[in-house]
Amino acid sequence: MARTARLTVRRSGPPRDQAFEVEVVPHMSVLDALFRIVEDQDGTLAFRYSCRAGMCGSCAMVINGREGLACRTSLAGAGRRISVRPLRNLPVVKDLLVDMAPFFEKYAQVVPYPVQRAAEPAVIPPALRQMIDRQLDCITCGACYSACPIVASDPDFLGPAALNRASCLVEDQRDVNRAERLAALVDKDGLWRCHTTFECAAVCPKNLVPTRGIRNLKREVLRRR
Amino acid sequence: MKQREGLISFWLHRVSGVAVMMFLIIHVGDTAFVMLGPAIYNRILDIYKSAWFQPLEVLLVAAVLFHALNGLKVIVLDFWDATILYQRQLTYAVAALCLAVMLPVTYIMLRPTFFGGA
Repeated sequence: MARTARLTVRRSGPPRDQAFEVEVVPHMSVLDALFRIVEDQDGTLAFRYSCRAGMCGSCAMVINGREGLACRTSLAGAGRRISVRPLRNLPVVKDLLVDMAPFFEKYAQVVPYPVQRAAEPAVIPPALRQMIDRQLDCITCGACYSACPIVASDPDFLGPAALNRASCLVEDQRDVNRAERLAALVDKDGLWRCHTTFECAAVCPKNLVPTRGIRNLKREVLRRR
Repeated sequence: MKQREGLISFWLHRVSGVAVMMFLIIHVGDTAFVMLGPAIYNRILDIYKSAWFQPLEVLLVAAVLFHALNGLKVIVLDFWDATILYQRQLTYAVAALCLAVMLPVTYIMLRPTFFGGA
């Protein structure tokens, strides 16, 4: 007899959990299971996805109480009873689909692109490049934003992803407004609200440590005083 | 729970900090009774010596100890680059150190009241 998994999915409307039995096929992901539910059991289930390869960050959700990408979470590895909920700290549009607007508004607040000097090509010392090497792979999936307990208690806190991006740009020698960048990050909802809980690092599907970037920013602010 | 060490130590840091702060406020209050004369002050101090208060004093020492060690851990994480990848191990080290200190301290503090020793 084929093995099945029981997915308990948080539905919207009046919030409620709905259970679905899905047959487990080898190498099946949680996202695949959600597709099976939509195809075979309930076509009204809403969730977001795109690349199905862990690159786009669209299918981040809370699986068994922990943020992760549905496309990169093995169904067999997640157990026989799997709870699937939408990301936390973001308004639910429908079922597992959240409105990412607050997340990206904060991302926009840190001006997430370099404001370059006229002189090109810039010469970047390898040591500086190595500093941000491990912070560049963010796919803005929102998992860290959902897991962060500070975002949960202070909805205006910029959050790990935006601050991680800011730290990459502050280290960028081509950027002309590093001082302004740092000044914009030190207000009451900025980088000092991070309490190094490492929840962002624990859930990041790209294994980034946003806390490292935030720590670098704090040190840079102190160095300039 | 998977990789929740950072969050757990954050909450313990908060709770222990608030607990120590509350004790300090109470302590300033009870010390103020000295202004009303030695008899009243001594009666207030007897509360601290009563048996039911002894375990609370042990908890106070534990709160101060954890808050101090975890604070040092955060400073280490902030100023020593390489440690950022070992925050879980550092958290376990703080927990182990707290336990190692609190076991004998608990015995020494509770011995006069609960273990019949001097």
